[in-house]
Amino acid sequence: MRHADVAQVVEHGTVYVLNLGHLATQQSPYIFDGSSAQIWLRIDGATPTTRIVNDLAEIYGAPAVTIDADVRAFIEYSVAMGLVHLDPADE
Amino acid sequence: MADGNASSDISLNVAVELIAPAVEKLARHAGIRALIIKGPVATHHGLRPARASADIDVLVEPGRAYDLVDALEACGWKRRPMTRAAELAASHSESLIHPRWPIDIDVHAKFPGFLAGEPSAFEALWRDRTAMSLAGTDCTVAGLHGSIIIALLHAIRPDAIGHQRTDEHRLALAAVARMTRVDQERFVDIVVDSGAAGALVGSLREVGLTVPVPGGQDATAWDALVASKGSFTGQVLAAASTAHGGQRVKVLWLALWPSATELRAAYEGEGHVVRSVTWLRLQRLGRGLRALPGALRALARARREAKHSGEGAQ
Repeated sequence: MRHADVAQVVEHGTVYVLNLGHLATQQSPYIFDGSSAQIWLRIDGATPTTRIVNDLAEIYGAPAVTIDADVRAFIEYSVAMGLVHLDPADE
Repeated sequence: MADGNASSDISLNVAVELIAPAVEKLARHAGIRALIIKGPVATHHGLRPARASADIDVLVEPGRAYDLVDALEACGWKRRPMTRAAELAASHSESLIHPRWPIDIDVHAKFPGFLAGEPSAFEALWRDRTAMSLAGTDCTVAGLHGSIIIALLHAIRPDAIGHQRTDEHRLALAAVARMTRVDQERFVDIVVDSGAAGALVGSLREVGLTVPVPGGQDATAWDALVASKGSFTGQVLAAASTAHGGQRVKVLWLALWPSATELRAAYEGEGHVVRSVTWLRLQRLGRGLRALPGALRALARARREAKHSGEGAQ
Protein backbone atom coordinates (compact mmCIF):
# COMPACT_ATOMS: atom_id res chain seq x y z
CA MET A 1 0.00 0.00 0.00
CA ARG A 2 1.01 3.64 -0.38
CA HIS A 3 3.32 5.06 2.24
CA ALA A 4 1.57 7.43 4.67
CA ASP A 5 4.15 10.13 3.94
CA VAL A 6 3.03 10.62 0.36
CA ALA A 7 1.10 13.64 -0.93
CA GLN A 8 -0.92 13.14 -4.07
CA VAL A 9 -2.88 15.34 -6.47
CA VAL A 10 -4.83 14.13 -9.51
CA GLU A 11 -5.34 16.64 -12.31
CA HIS A 12 -6.84 15.74 -15.70
CA GLY A 13 -6.08 12.05 -15.22
CA THR A 14 -2.44 12.65 -14.34
CA VAL A 15 -1.25 11.83 -10.84
CA TYR A 16 1.39 13.96 -9.12
CA VAL A 17 3.03 12.25 -6.16
CA LEU A 18 5.43 13.91 -3.75
CA ASN A 19 7.41 11.78 -1.32
CA LEU A 20 7.26 13.83 1.90
CA GLY A 21 9.59 11.42 3.67
CA HIS A 22 12.44 12.06 1.25
CA LEU A 23 12.14 15.74 0.32
CA ALA A 24 15.87 16.35 0.35
CA THR A 25 16.62 13.64 -2.22
CA GLN A 26 13.29 13.58 -4.12
CA GLN A 27 12.68 17.30 -4.56
CA SER A 28 9.98 17.23 -7.18
CA PRO A 29 6.91 15.07 -7.74
CA TYR A 30 6.63 11.84 -9.66
CA ILE A 31 4.25 12.32 -12.54
CA PHE A 32 2.20 9.25 -13.44
CA ASP A 33 -0.07 9.28 -16.47
CA GLY A 34 -1.68 6.65 -18.68
CA SER A 35 -1.22 3.12 -17.39
CA SER A 36 1.11 4.17 -14.56
CA ALA A 37 -1.62 6.47 -13.22
CA GLN A 38 -4.12 3.61 -13.47
CA ILE A 39 -1.83 1.33 -11.49
CA TRP A 40 -0.94 3.97 -8.89
CA LEU A 41 -4.58 4.82 -8.20
CA ARG A 42 -5.28 1.13 -7.51
CA ILE A 43 -2.44 0.74 -5.01
CA ASP A 44 -4.70 1.50 -2.08
CA GLY A 45 -3.98 -1.30 0.37
CA ALA A 46 -7.25 -3.00 -0.49
CA THR A 47 -6.84 -4.00 -4.13
CA PRO A 48 -4.62 -7.10 -4.65
CA THR A 49 -2.04 -7.05 -7.43
CA THR A 50 -3.92 -9.73 -9.39
CA ARG A 51 -7.01 -7.52 -9.44
CA ILE A 52 -4.93 -4.52 -10.62
CA VAL A 53 -3.55 -6.69 -13.45
CA ASN A 54 -7.01 -7.86 -14.47
CA ASP A 55 -8.39 -4.30 -14.38
CA LEU A 56 -5.63 -2.99 -16.63
CA ALA A 57 -5.88 -5.96 -18.99
CA GLU A 58 -9.54 -5.08 -19.43
CA ILE A 59 -8.93 -1.34 -19.86
CA TYR A 60 -6.15 -1.75 -22.43
CA GLY A 61 -7.38 -4.98 -24.09
CA ALA A 62 -3.97 -6.59 -23.56
CA PRO A 63 -3.05 -10.09 -22.33
CA ALA A 64 -2.90 -10.32 -18.53
CA VAL A 65 0.55 -11.95 -18.78
CA THR A 66 2.02 -8.85 -20.42
CA ILE A 67 0.25 -6.46 -18.07
CA ASP A 68 1.35 -8.53 -15.07
CA ALA A 69 5.02 -7.85 -15.76
CA ASP A 70 4.40 -4.09 -16.19
CA VAL A 71 2.34 -3.84 -13.02
CA ARG A 72 4.91 -5.71 -10.95
CA ALA A 73 7.74 -3.60 -12.40
CA PHE A 74 5.85 -0.41 -11.52
CA ILE A 75 5.19 -1.63 -7.99
CA GLU A 76 8.83 -2.65 -7.52
CA TYR A 77 9.91 0.79 -8.70
CA SER A 78 7.46 2.48 -6.30
CA VAL A 79 8.74 0.35 -3.41
CA ALA A 80 12.35 1.21 -4.29
CA MET A 81 11.47 4.93 -4.29
CA GLY A 82 9.82 4.61 -0.86
CA LEU A 83 6.37 5.48 -2.18
CA VAL A 84 4.83 2.10 -1.45
CA HIS A 85 5.35 -0.72 1.03
CA LEU A 86 4.16 -4.21 0.35
CA ASP A 87 1.75 -6.12 2.57
CA PRO A 88 1.12 -9.86 2.12
CA ALA A 89 -2.50 -8.90 1.37
CA ASP A 90 -1.33 -6.94 -1.71
CA GLU A 91 -0.75 -10.22 -3.51
CA MET B 1 7.47 8.71 -14.74
CA ALA B 2 10.44 9.46 -12.52
CA ASP B 3 10.94 12.80 -10.88
CA GLY B 4 13.18 15.34 -12.54
CA ASN B 5 10.42 17.28 -14.26
CA ALA B 6 10.74 20.93 -15.18
CA SER B 7 8.53 23.50 -13.46
CA SER B 8 6.42 23.84 -16.62
CA ASP B 9 5.18 20.24 -16.18
CA ILE B 10 3.35 21.17 -12.99
CA SER B 11 0.38 23.55 -12.84
CA LEU B 12 0.19 26.24 -10.18
CA ASN B 13 -2.75 24.48 -8.50
CA VAL B 14 -0.91 21.16 -8.28
CA ALA B 15 2.22 22.87 -7.01
CA VAL B 16 0.36 24.73 -4.26
CA GLU B 17 -1.43 21.57 -3.12
CA LEU B 18 1.80 19.56 -2.97
CA ILE B 19 4.09 22.20 -1.50
CA ALA B 20 1.78 22.98 1.45
CA PRO B 21 2.17 19.47 2.96
CA ALA B 22 5.90 19.55 2.15
CA VAL B 23 6.28 22.75 4.19
CA GLU B 24 4.12 21.25 6.95
CA LYS B 25 6.29 18.13 7.01
CA LEU B 26 9.58 20.04 7.19
CA ALA B 27 8.24 22.38 9.90
CA ARG B 28 6.95 19.50 12.03
CA HIS B 29 10.18 17.57 11.62
CA ALA B 30 12.15 20.60 12.87
CA GLY B 31 9.70 21.28 15.71
CA ILE B 32 8.62 24.61 14.21
CA ARG B 33 5.06 25.87 14.56
CA ALA B 34 3.96 27.09 11.15
CA LEU B 35 0.63 28.12 9.66
CA ILE B 36 -0.25 28.01 5.99
CA ILE B 37 -2.06 31.27 5.25
CA LYS B 38 -3.76 33.06 2.31
CA GLY B 39 -4.27 31.41 -1.11
CA PRO B 40 -5.93 27.98 -0.75
CA VAL B 41 -6.66 28.63 2.92
CA ALA B 42 -8.58 31.82 2.11
CA THR B 43 -10.47 29.92 -0.60
CA HIS B 44 -11.24 27.11 1.88
CA HIS B 45 -12.78 29.67 4.26
CA GLY B 46 -14.79 31.32 1.46
CA LEU B 47 -12.72 34.50 1.57
CA ARG B 48 -11.39 34.31 -1.95
CA PRO B 49 -12.70 32.86 -5.21
CA ALA B 50 -10.90 29.70 -6.31
CA ARG B 51 -7.99 30.83 -8.47
CA ALA B 52 -4.42 29.79 -9.05
CA SER B 53 -1.82 31.13 -6.63
CA ALA B 54 1.74 31.86 -7.67
CA ASP B 55 3.03 31.21 -4.19
CA ILE B 56 2.35 29.48 -0.91
CA ASP B 57 2.52 31.60 2.22
CA VAL B 58 3.56 30.29 5.58
CA LEU B 59 3.61 32.25 8.84
CA VAL B 60 6.22 30.93 11.25
CA GLU B 61 6.47 31.25 15.01
CA PRO B 62 8.75 34.07 16.17
CA GLY B 63 12.44 33.34 15.90
CA ARG B 64 12.07 30.19 13.78
CA ALA B 65 11.53 31.56 10.25
CA TYR B 66 15.16 31.08 9.27
CA ASP B 67 15.16 27.55 10.65
CA LEU B 68 12.39 26.74 8.19
CA VAL B 69 14.25 28.55 5.41
CA ASP B 70 17.30 26.40 6.22
CA ALA B 71 15.19 23.23 6.05
CA LEU B 72 13.80 24.31 2.68
CA GLU B 73 17.28 25.14 1.39
CA ALA B 74 18.33 21.59 2.27
CA CYS B 75 15.61 20.49 -0.17
CA GLY B 76 16.87 22.61 -3.05
CA TRP B 77 14.93 25.83 -2.48
CA LYS B 78 16.90 29.05 -2.81
CA ARG B 79 16.25 32.57 -1.57
CA ARG B 80 14.96 34.83 -4.33
CA PRO B 81 17.68 37.41 -4.95
CA MET B 82 16.89 40.92 -3.77
CA THR B 83 18.92 43.90 -2.64
CA ARG B 84 19.67 44.07 1.10
CA ALA B 85 17.79 47.37 1.25
CA ALA B 86 14.69 45.67 -0.15
CA GLU B 87 15.22 42.85 2.35
CA LEU B 88 15.39 45.27 5.24
CA ALA B 89 12.45 47.34 3.99
CA ALA B 90 10.28 44.26 3.43
CA SER B 91 11.73 42.29 6.32
CA HIS B 92 8.50 40.45 6.98
CA SER B 93 9.09 37.59 4.56
CA GLU B 94 11.63 35.56 2.60
CA SER B 95 10.73 34.28 -0.87
CA LEU B 96 12.19 30.96 -1.97
CA ILE B 97 12.30 29.51 -5.45
CA HIS B 98 13.14 26.09 -6.89
CA PRO B 99 14.02 25.33 -10.52
CA ARG B 100 11.57 22.40 -10.63
CA TRP B 101 8.59 24.19 -9.11
CA PRO B 102 6.53 27.00 -10.68
CA ILE B 103 5.68 28.72 -7.39
CA ASP B 104 7.48 30.64 -4.66
CA ILE B 105 7.34 29.74 -0.98
CA ASP B 106 6.94 32.93 1.06
CA VAL B 107 8.12 32.35 4.61
CA HIS B 108 6.71 35.11 6.79
CA ALA B 109 8.46 36.01 10.03
CA LYS B 110 5.68 38.54 10.53
CA PHE B 111 2.80 40.01 8.57
CA PRO B 112 2.35 43.74 7.92
CA GLY B 113 -0.42 45.32 10.00
CA PHE B 114 -0.05 43.29 13.20
CA LEU B 115 1.13 46.14 15.38
CA ALA B 116 1.59 44.42 18.74
CA GLY B 117 4.68 42.50 17.66
CA GLU B 118 5.22 39.04 16.26
CA PRO B 119 4.73 36.94 19.41
CA SER B 120 1.24 38.33 20.13
CA ALA B 121 0.19 38.04 16.49
CA PHE B 122 1.43 34.49 16.04
CA GLU B 123 0.03 33.18 19.33
CA ALA B 124 -3.42 34.64 18.59
CA LEU B 125 -3.44 33.14 15.09
CA TRP B 126 -2.06 29.82 16.35
CA ARG B 127 -4.85 29.50 18.91
CA ASP B 128 -7.34 29.97 16.05
CA ARG B 129 -5.64 27.40 13.76
CA THR B 130 -7.46 24.56 12.04
CA ALA B 131 -6.60 21.58 9.84
CA MET B 132 -7.18 21.46 6.11
CA SER B 133 -6.66 18.53 3.78
CA LEU B 134 -4.23 19.33 0.97
CA ALA B 135 -2.99 16.62 -1.40
CA GLY B 136 -4.55 14.02 0.87
CA THR B 137 -2.68 15.13 4.00
CA ASP B 138 -3.72 17.26 6.97
CA CYS B 139 -2.06 20.66 7.05
CA THR B 140 -2.11 23.19 9.86
CA VAL B 141 -3.65 26.38 8.50
CA ALA B 142 -4.97 29.68 9.78
CA GLY B 143 -8.51 29.40 11.12
CA LEU B 144 -11.47 31.38 9.84
CA HIS B 145 -11.02 34.32 12.19
CA GLY B 146 -7.28 34.55 11.64
CA SER B 147 -7.80 34.23 7.88
CA ILE B 148 -10.32 37.07 7.89
CA ILE B 149 -7.83 39.30 9.71
CA ILE B 150 -5.07 38.38 7.25
CA ALA B 151 -7.40 38.91 4.27
CA LEU B 152 -8.40 42.36 5.53
CA LEU B 153 -4.79 43.36 6.21
CA HIS B 154 -3.84 42.04 2.79
CA ALA B 155 -6.69 43.94 1.14
CA ILE B 156 -5.78 47.28 2.72
CA ARG B 157 -2.05 46.82 2.21
CA PRO B 158 -0.47 49.68 0.30
CA ASP B 159 0.36 47.78 -2.88
CA ALA B 160 -2.95 45.89 -3.21
CA ILE B 161 -4.23 45.74 -6.77
CA GLY B 162 -7.52 47.61 -7.15
CA HIS B 163 -10.01 44.82 -7.88
CA GLN B 164 -8.32 42.37 -5.52
CA ARG B 165 -8.45 44.95 -2.77
CA THR B 166 -12.19 45.41 -3.26
CA ASP B 167 -13.04 41.70 -3.63
CA GLU B 168 -10.94 40.52 -0.69
CA HIS B 169 -12.18 43.33 1.51
CA ARG B 170 -15.82 42.70 0.59
CA LEU B 171 -15.65 38.93 1.07
CA ALA B 172 -13.83 39.22 4.40
CA LEU B 173 -16.26 41.80 5.76
CA ALA B 174 -19.22 39.72 4.53
CA ALA B 175 -17.85 36.77 6.50
CA VAL B 176 -17.70 38.96 9.63
CA ALA B 177 -21.24 40.20 9.03
CA ARG B 178 -22.50 36.58 8.77
CA MET B 179 -21.08 35.61 12.16
CA THR B 180 -23.25 35.16 15.22
CA ARG B 181 -22.88 37.74 17.95
CA VAL B 182 -20.83 35.32 20.03
CA ASP B 183 -18.52 34.59 17.11
CA GLN B 184 -18.11 38.30 16.43
CA GLU B 185 -17.06 38.84 20.03
CA ARG B 186 -14.53 36.05 19.73
CA PHE B 187 -13.34 37.51 16.43
CA VAL B 188 -12.84 40.96 18.01
CA ASP B 189 -10.81 39.33 20.81
CA ILE B 190 -8.49 37.80 18.21
CA VAL B 191 -8.23 41.11 16.35
CA VAL B 192 -7.16 42.82 19.58
CA ASP B 193 -4.90 40.01 20.83
CA SER B 194 -3.12 39.76 17.48
CA GLY B 195 -2.45 43.49 17.39
CA ALA B 196 -4.43 44.11 14.21
CA ALA B 197 -6.95 46.47 15.83
CA GLY B 198 -5.06 49.65 14.94
CA ALA B 199 -4.93 48.73 11.25
CA LEU B 200 -8.46 47.29 11.00
CA VAL B 201 -10.51 49.63 13.17
CA GLY B 202 -11.78 51.53 10.10
CA SER B 203 -12.64 48.43 8.06
CA LEU B 204 -14.53 46.76 10.91
CA ARG B 205 -16.52 49.91 11.56
CA GLU B 206 -18.06 49.32 8.10
CA VAL B 207 -19.86 46.22 9.49
CA GLY B 208 -20.81 47.86 12.76
CA LEU B 209 -18.02 46.41 14.89
CA THR B 210 -16.29 48.65 17.37
CA VAL B 211 -12.80 47.46 18.13
CA PRO B 212 -10.80 48.85 21.04
CA VAL B 213 -7.27 49.85 20.04
CA PRO B 214 -4.89 49.19 22.93
CA GLY B 215 -2.17 51.75 23.61
CA GLY B 216 1.41 50.94 22.72
CA GLN B 217 0.63 49.66 19.24
CA ASP B 218 2.58 52.10 17.09
CA ALA B 219 0.68 52.45 13.84
CA THR B 220 3.02 55.13 12.45
CA ALA B 221 5.03 52.83 10.17
CA TRP B 222 1.88 51.05 8.94
CA ASP B 223 0.03 54.33 8.27
CA ALA B 224 3.05 55.76 6.49
CA LEU B 225 3.27 52.66 4.33
CA VAL B 226 -0.41 52.83 3.42
CA ALA B 227 -0.24 56.53 2.68
CA SER B 228 2.82 56.13 0.45
CA LYS B 229 0.91 53.50 -1.57
CA GLY B 230 3.63 50.92 -0.98
CA SER B 231 6.34 52.63 -3.02
CA PHE B 232 9.84 51.30 -2.36
CA THR B 233 10.78 54.74 -1.01
CA GLY B 234 7.79 54.59 1.32
CA GLN B 235 8.80 51.12 2.49
CA VAL B 236 12.34 52.29 3.18
CA LEU B 237 11.16 55.35 5.12
CA ALA B 238 8.66 53.27 7.08
CA ALA B 239 11.39 50.73 7.94
CA ALA B 240 13.79 53.53 8.87
CA SER B 241 11.15 55.21 11.05
CA THR B 242 10.91 52.15 13.29
CA ALA B 243 14.64 51.35 13.28
CA HIS B 244 17.07 52.84 15.77
CA GLY B 245 20.58 54.26 15.58
CA GLY B 246 22.93 52.34 13.34
CA GLN B 247 20.18 50.16 11.89
CA ARG B 248 18.37 53.26 10.60
CA VAL B 249 21.55 54.52 8.90
CA LYS B 250 22.10 51.03 7.45
CA VAL B 251 18.59 50.90 5.94
CA LEU B 252 18.98 54.31 4.33
CA TRP B 253 22.51 53.66 3.05
CA LEU B 254 21.66 50.28 1.54
CA ALA B 255 18.64 51.83 -0.16
CA LEU B 256 20.78 54.58 -1.62
CA TRP B 257 23.80 52.49 -2.61
CA PRO B 258 23.26 48.72 -2.89
CA SER B 259 26.28 46.71 -4.04
CA ALA B 260 26.65 46.09 -7.77
CA THR B 261 26.38 42.33 -7.22
CA GLU B 262 23.09 42.43 -5.33
CA LEU B 263 21.63 45.07 -7.65
CA ARG B 264 22.43 42.95 -10.68
CA ALA B 265 21.12 39.77 -9.02
CA ALA B 266 17.87 41.45 -7.99
CA TYR B 267 17.12 42.82 -11.47
CA GLU B 268 18.17 39.66 -13.27
CA GLY B 269 16.05 37.66 -10.82
CA GLU B 270 13.05 39.65 -12.06
CA GLY B 271 13.89 38.67 -15.64
CA HIS B 272 15.53 41.96 -16.73
CA VAL B 273 18.69 42.09 -18.79
CA VAL B 274 21.27 44.23 -17.00
CA ARG B 275 23.66 46.06 -19.31
CA SER B 276 24.93 48.75 -16.96
CA VAL B 277 24.87 48.87 -13.17
CA THR B 278 25.51 52.62 -13.26
CA TRP B 279 22.40 53.08 -15.39
CA LEU B 280 20.41 50.98 -12.88
CA ARG B 281 21.67 53.11 -10.01
CA LEU B 282 20.65 56.32 -11.79
CA GLN B 283 17.22 54.91 -12.59
CA ARG B 284 16.69 53.83 -8.96
CA LEU B 285 17.87 57.17 -7.66
CA GLY B 286 15.55 59.03 -10.04
CA ARG B 287 12.55 56.94 -8.99
CA GLY B 288 13.45 57.35 -5.33
CA LEU B 289 13.79 61.11 -5.58
CA ARG B 290 10.47 61.41 -7.40
CA ALA B 291 8.71 59.37 -4.72
CA LEU B 292 10.50 61.02 -1.79
CA PRO B 293 8.30 64.11 -1.25
CA GLY B 294 5.11 62.01 -1.19
CA ALA B 295 6.64 59.41 1.11
CA LEU B 296 7.91 62.10 3.51
CA ARG B 297 4.49 63.77 3.57
CA ALA B 298 2.88 60.38 4.27
CA LEU B 299 5.29 59.69 7.13
CA ALA B 300 4.75 63.15 8.64
CA ARG B 301 0.98 62.77 8.37
CA ALA B 302 1.11 59.34 10.01
CA ARG B 303 3.23 60.73 12.85
CA ARG B 304 0.82 63.65 13.38
CA GLU B 305 -2.15 61.28 13.49
CA ALA B 306 -0.36 58.92 15.89
CA LYS B 307 0.46 61.87 18.14
CA HIS B 308 -3.14 63.13 18.08
CA SER B 309 -4.63 59.72 18.77
CA GLY B 310 -2.10 59.28 21.60
CA GLU B 311 -3.13 62.62 23.10
CA GLY B 312 -6.81 61.69 22.65
CA ALA B 313 -6.30 58.45 24.52
CA GLN B 314 -4.76 60.18 27.54
